[in-house]
Amino acid sequence: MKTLSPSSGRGAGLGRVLAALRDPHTYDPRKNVFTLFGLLWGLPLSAFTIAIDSWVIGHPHRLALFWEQPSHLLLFVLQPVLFGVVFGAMGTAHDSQDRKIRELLSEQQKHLEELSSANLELMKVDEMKSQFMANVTHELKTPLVAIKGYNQSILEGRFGPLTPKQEKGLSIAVRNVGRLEKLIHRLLEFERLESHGYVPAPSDFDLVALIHLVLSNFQPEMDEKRLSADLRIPKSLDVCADYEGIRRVLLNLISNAVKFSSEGGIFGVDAEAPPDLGRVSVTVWDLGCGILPESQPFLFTRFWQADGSSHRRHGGTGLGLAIVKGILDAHGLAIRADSTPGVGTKFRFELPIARVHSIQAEAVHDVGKAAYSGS
Amino acid sequence: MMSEKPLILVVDDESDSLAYLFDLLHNEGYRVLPTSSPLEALDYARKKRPDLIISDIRMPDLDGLELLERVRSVSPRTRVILLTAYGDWKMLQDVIRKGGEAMLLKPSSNEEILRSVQKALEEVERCSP
Repeated sequence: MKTLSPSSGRGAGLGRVLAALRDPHTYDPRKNVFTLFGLLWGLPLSAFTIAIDSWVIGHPHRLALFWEQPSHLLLFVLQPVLFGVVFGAMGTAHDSQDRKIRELLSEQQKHLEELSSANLELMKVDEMKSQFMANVTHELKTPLVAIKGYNQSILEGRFGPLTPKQEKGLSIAVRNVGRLEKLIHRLLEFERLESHGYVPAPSDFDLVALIHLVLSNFQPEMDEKRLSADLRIPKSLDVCADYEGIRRVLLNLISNAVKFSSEGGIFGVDAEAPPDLGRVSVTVWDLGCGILPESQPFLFTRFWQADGSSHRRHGGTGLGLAIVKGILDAHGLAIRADSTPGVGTKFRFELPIARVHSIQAEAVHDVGKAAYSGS
Repeated sequence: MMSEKPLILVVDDESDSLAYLFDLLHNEGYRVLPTSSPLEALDYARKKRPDLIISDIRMPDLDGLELLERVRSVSPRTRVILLTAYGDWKMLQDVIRKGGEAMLLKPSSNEEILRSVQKALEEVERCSP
């Protein structure tokens, strides 16, 4: 802590003044325009004071009084000096403030430079991370080729018949290889979205056909958990979006619905195009355990899991919903989650209707209007 | 109808993956020529004119896409299927643009591999004089 005794304060004060005089960057009275300003203002004020004094005495026009009264002379000199000193002091304060601002600005500039170099460093690290992820994925997937391939070949009886026990063991091994494969795929998917910046390539496609296609991927899990899917969808719905991106969105949302539904339960996909809206509304819902209200704000945060405890019931990377949000964000579309603990969860998003479809719809709408006005 | 069994050249620098592909295809009755060197594969392609090449993409000396381009010039009738662990749509487009038959993501299932092989061989037979 800084302490100053009175004597040291005096000494330090004088020292500071001397140092300031020697320092070319600090106040120089000769260069201070404020002093000059004070001196100039002091002169008419002195003259005014003397004139008042002469008027009070009763001889306003006797200039000789100026010389007869030494106090006038003193006033004439003293007032400009006083003004010069006062204004000079203000100038000094102003100058020191200016200097502080300049110092702060240069410090800020230095910080900016530091930040930009740190940013460059981060970009380099990010590039390295992407490369690392590509390598790791490759290295993780390569052994899987032989593991999955041989296990599958043996299980399919390509290398001779199997006993029921061998068959059971191998089918478990194959299923777990599939799990591992999915996990690696998801990590890779997320890394791609994060590092390379996903740019959607919109095209017109039938959303209903895509929903059926995605659902067919989950048939084995659905059979195993005896789940049934409740689909409230029309025969076809043409939308305009990135096919691959929306396929991944549906894969992740339906995967969650399947994962969190209890045995023998039900989950569903609703899709509808309300008239005149130009959008298709898609809802993926389940009747699973739901998400606590305090956890809901973090739902789309990467690596986050509703149950992060060591005894959690459901596995996963915590990337699925972050991927979903990343893809929809890139489309400029929003997703909403409604969840009630113990009741279930609903994810709802909207997709733009296909261009051709919307033109047709507009035409139909116009014809409808014309018919109405004509009747 | 082909007079003899189709010849498939399998290229992968990973010996276990190579062994698996060899066993899978050999078991299906194809004539299979395995090699872990893409340069050797190019040499075989020139000399033996295989019906089909199944190759990994990421390999030292010569990657699968370069191999595909060179094979197309030395043996135009040979179809090429590429395998990759780290592929995306852009890469698939690249493979198709360069004249590849298909790109399979590792680890593919037996069914996927055999289906692609079957399709590519049908294409070879259709284009044969």
